[in-house]
Amino acid sequence: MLISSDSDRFSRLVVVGTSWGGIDALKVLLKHINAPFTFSVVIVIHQERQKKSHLSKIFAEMVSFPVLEAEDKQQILPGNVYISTPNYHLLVEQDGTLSHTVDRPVNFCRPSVDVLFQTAADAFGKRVIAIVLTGANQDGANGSKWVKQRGGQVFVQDPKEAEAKVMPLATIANIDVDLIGSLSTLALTLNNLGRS
Amino acid sequence: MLKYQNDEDYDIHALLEVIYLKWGYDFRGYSKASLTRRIFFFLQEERIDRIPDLQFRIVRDRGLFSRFIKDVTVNVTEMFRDPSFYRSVKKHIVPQLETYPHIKIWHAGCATGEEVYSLAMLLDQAGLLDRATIYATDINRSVLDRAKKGIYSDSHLSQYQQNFKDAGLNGDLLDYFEKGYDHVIVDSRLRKNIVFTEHDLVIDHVFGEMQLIFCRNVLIYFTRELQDKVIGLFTESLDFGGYLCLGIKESLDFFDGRAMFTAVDADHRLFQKTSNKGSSDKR
Ligand SMILES: C[S@@+](CC[C@H](N)C(=O)[O-])C[C@H]1O[C@@H](n2cnc3c(N)ncnc32)[C@H](O)[C@@H]1O
Repeated sequence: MLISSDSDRFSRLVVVGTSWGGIDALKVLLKHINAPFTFSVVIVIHQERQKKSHLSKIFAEMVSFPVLEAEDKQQILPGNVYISTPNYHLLVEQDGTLSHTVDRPVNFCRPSVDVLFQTAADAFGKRVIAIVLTGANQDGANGSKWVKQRGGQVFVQDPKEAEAKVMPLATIANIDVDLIGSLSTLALTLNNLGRS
Repeated sequence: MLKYQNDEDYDIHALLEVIYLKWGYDFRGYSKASLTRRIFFFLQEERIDRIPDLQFRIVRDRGLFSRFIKDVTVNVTEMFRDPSFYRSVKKHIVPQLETYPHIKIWHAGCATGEEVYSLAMLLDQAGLLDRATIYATDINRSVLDRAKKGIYSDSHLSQYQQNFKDAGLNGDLLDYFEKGYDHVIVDSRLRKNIVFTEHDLVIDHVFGEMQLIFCRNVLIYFTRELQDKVIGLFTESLDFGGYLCLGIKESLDFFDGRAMFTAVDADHRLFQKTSNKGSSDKR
């Protein structure tokens, strides 16, 4: 909860939420991000509950920057991407670490995008950029509101392009979003931030 | 200097200090994101507007404090959570337990008991239940009461039955339960060697010479410093050659005394105490 100098290590905290169609969308998004970058990316993706997720490995093989499965109490470092574990909510702490809870599902989801977005907003306010990608439920819409209230920005994948529109549309209906764009547009916007 | 992001964080800081002073429960080493979430749920539940109001009342109202403990701890659990974990316990730990005439087992943070009965079923099928004494502890008295009763809603029954099979047990989960109208009740055969009792991992002391300790999905609620302290407590409570089983997101990687342990199955977080070096022999 303390703001330490450690927590200032990333320029921005980019939190991403996705569900149905998310694996393919993330592949495109991550491929378009230029390394090295000064922000950090933390992703919640809804997955079937399973023993072990291999997503981080799949993504890591495609790109030149580290893509890691989030470890508990791990320090979030700039230039890295962290991915949620099935069946655990993923949270951001004020000291810039990641943490977990097995608390009840939110929007029938565990991990829940809302939980990630809310805790990220509480911890890093204006420095948060939330991105809502394809998904077939409304998880992320409430969290996005929280992000805006704490001074952060919200980007949404263009629903026309999303494999499942419900999640992007729910966020667009809930708040004034800062950007609606294709995956490559979203990546481009991040690349511009990453350079500054 | 202490600096927080939001004003409410200062209120929570003060609240936790006051609770510690007044009631002796120490939440100051808990991870804040989850705890903050739970505290705000609690405010809603109790229809209290602001944390300072909660602070004022909690000092004066023991009942309110009891409900606080009940609601801010996360007690969500299930039967055979991570079925493959139980298969690994059967494969790696049961053969070792068979060599003991008497086995002492500790479930720390057992919540409503599903995990305790899951292991008891596994031990029963291995023929070990009769030689086991099982201590099941939690900080939250109300979940312990429910664990003791062993009555569960049947809303998750089919999932638990699947978990039972996936965990590699024979027969059916209902061999160990009596079916009621909308609930199931644990067979008395499973409970007879289980002792349910209150124990706070932060404040209370070592718990005796265990051959096996389960502490799953509890350490995630603690900061690394507190995790370190609690794992130290487990290390002291373990017999030489005893096993420590953690949740999937928990590990010994950052524990000072990790050299005392060997990972028996790192993926499933099964560790064996294979050395005493570095342990502080205080007892
Ligand atoms: C999520 S449950 C874990 C239940 C079970 N072990 C499982 O993995 O399904 C966490 C439990 O830890 C308990 N707990 C939290 N702080 C504790 C403490 N200081 N001492 C003992 N138990 C604690 C909570 O009351 C809760 O029942």
